[in-house]
Amino acid sequence: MDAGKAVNIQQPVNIQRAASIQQTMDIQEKLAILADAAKYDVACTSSGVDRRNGRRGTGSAAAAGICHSFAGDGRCISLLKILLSNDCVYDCRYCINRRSNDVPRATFTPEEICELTMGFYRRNYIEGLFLSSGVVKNADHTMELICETVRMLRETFHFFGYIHVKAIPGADPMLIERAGYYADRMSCNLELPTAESLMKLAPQKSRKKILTPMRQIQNRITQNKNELTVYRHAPKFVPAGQSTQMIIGATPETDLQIMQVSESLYERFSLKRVFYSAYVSVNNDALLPALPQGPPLLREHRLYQADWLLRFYGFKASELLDEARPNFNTLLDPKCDWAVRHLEGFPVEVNRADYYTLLRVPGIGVRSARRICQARRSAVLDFADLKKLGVVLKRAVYFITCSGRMFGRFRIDEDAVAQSLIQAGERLPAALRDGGMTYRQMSLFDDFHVTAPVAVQDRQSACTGQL
Amino acid sequence: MEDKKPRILLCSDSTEGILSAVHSAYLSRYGHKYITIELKDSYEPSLFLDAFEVPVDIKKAESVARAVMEKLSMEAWSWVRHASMAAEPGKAQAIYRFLNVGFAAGPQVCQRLANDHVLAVYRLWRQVAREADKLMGFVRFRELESGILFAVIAPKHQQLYLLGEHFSDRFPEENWVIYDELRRMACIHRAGQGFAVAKDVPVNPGAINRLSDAEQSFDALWKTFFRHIEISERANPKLQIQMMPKRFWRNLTELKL
Repeated sequence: MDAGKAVNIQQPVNIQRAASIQQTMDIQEKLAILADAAKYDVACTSSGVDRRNGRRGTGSAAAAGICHSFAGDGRCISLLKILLSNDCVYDCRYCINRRSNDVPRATFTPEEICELTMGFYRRNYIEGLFLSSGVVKNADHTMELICETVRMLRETFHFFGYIHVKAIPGADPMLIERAGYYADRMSCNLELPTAESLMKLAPQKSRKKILTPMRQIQNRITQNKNELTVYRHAPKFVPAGQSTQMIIGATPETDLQIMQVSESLYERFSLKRVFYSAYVSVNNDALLPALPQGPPLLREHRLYQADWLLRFYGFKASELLDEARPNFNTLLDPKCDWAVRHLEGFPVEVNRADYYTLLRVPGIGVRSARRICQARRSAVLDFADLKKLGVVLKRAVYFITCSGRMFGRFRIDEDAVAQSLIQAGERLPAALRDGGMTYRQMSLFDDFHVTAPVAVQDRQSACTGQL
Repeated sequence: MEDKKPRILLCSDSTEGILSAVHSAYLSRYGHKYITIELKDSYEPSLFLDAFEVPVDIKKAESVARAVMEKLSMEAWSWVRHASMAAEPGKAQAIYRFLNVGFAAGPQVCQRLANDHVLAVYRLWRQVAREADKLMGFVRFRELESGILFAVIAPKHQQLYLLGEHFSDRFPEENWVIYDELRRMACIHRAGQGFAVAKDVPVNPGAINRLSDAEQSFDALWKTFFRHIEISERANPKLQIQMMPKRFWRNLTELKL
């Protein structure tokens, strides 16, 4: 689809440009091509590092990240997300920029990227730069260009905003290390959940080649933390940590396999984030699914929910899914799904249960659990108080007691509670509402004997990218 | 004691004004339950109540602020400060009651969300902080001929102070102005110096529309980027509006008609 769209670039007429921006290919055209080429990368967070400016240069960074705009697909625009070049020598089957595709190619110079970044940043359009790239000539050459760009931004333009760069697998470790001292976050895309899929769809890449720089960055971050404890002003290496992303739905992995991969990435590579990107069918290839119903957005959503459970709620992948049920329920979110299968542990008493027990109750999140722990020191909490503290009662009531009392009389067995939770509705993102269910695996989940459509209410923070 | 006549203190709509009134209320020793603090502008006179106007007194306001920071917590101070910027007629009374609870409860006051007075100020804080977070992203500067960066906003709550702090740190070496078109106030920053908030600022529409040459090309570049970063297979205008409500669109470069 994008091959057609990218050719059809709108030519702005009669626009005066600062002389320095003008190059052989119009910068407007380049930006259009390289933004188009970069958009399938999902990570667009500007979080994880807090840097005050200190009265010189331009820019600062806020730990929580700032969203500057929202595109028509509802995703946040926080960084100037572009490729340095889409003139890639690889031929990965899932990628719009594969060698054998007939798409317009463009390459930015480091100066052009700096110019754009500074101009956008001064006008408060963006929070910083997200620079990725196709492989031009070879990995080393590409990484060198990336390095030069970020060096120039920091040293020539005195830019203190957020910078996220990709580590190009196969590049010289020295180059990756150098980029790490200028960037806030680095990432190395895993691309596909398993090594076999990668071999099939991206024969020029290998799992090992991807994991090597990931390990290198991890080791350097750890080392740097030790240096920083000794020398407070030692230069910081990738202070916002590293992230990765995988494409979901292009290959036949189950949710269980994907969650296990994420879990080990968090544990063994101390990643800050794993991003999941619902596969958008951009190429016609016999090895790829056609996806007539559009990208598997609900599946992506469930994976993000489960990802949160791994990182902040103390869940293990093996608790959420197992060989017998290797995929998430379409009708219930992973936490509710877990809870109805473990009714033996409920109800819990909110005035006594410890923090981690509270976290496992559907309808109680990290914030409300923390608030409950604080508020119950000065008062005995009842259901009205819980509502004030931000607990979602319509889900929590089946799992909690206040001073020994439940909210009402319920039939407490797996089927009944699951029914009630489904009827209580879930806050799904707007795209998944109104019958827009694009992903179903009903045959696997008929075990609740329900066919009720997902009743949806409320709003959902779409910024699942933050934190 | 029950036959004491209720008193109303009227204050100006500013952080200093509200805190000055709180100071007077404490100093009068009249009894908190007989005192209500209201904003001067939204007060409707009543025959049966005594109303006193409290002038703004920076010293008094500062002493209350210090007491909040030292005896309660920095978090409590942030709540009070944000709440005082809310567009909510009852905010002065809400802050007053919150401080009554606070000075009795001590540093742990922010954790008593089950208390209605605490909850009220918490909610005001959250409303203001949320809008400020949005605006930190949605402010759009345009470069004028003179090199000054100029932005127009129309927020629900008073945001110039919070935005001033944020952007002073971000662009310390730029001259910039953020103009609040609803309140006709402006936050003005000079390169290398701090910022000031000015009231009743006359804005000459001719002057703010004379843009620099580079401005037009960046405007066009940004619109190009905005259009091309969207994945059309995932189009979701509802989500876009939810995250970026329409009331902000008027001042957004990429969405302005």
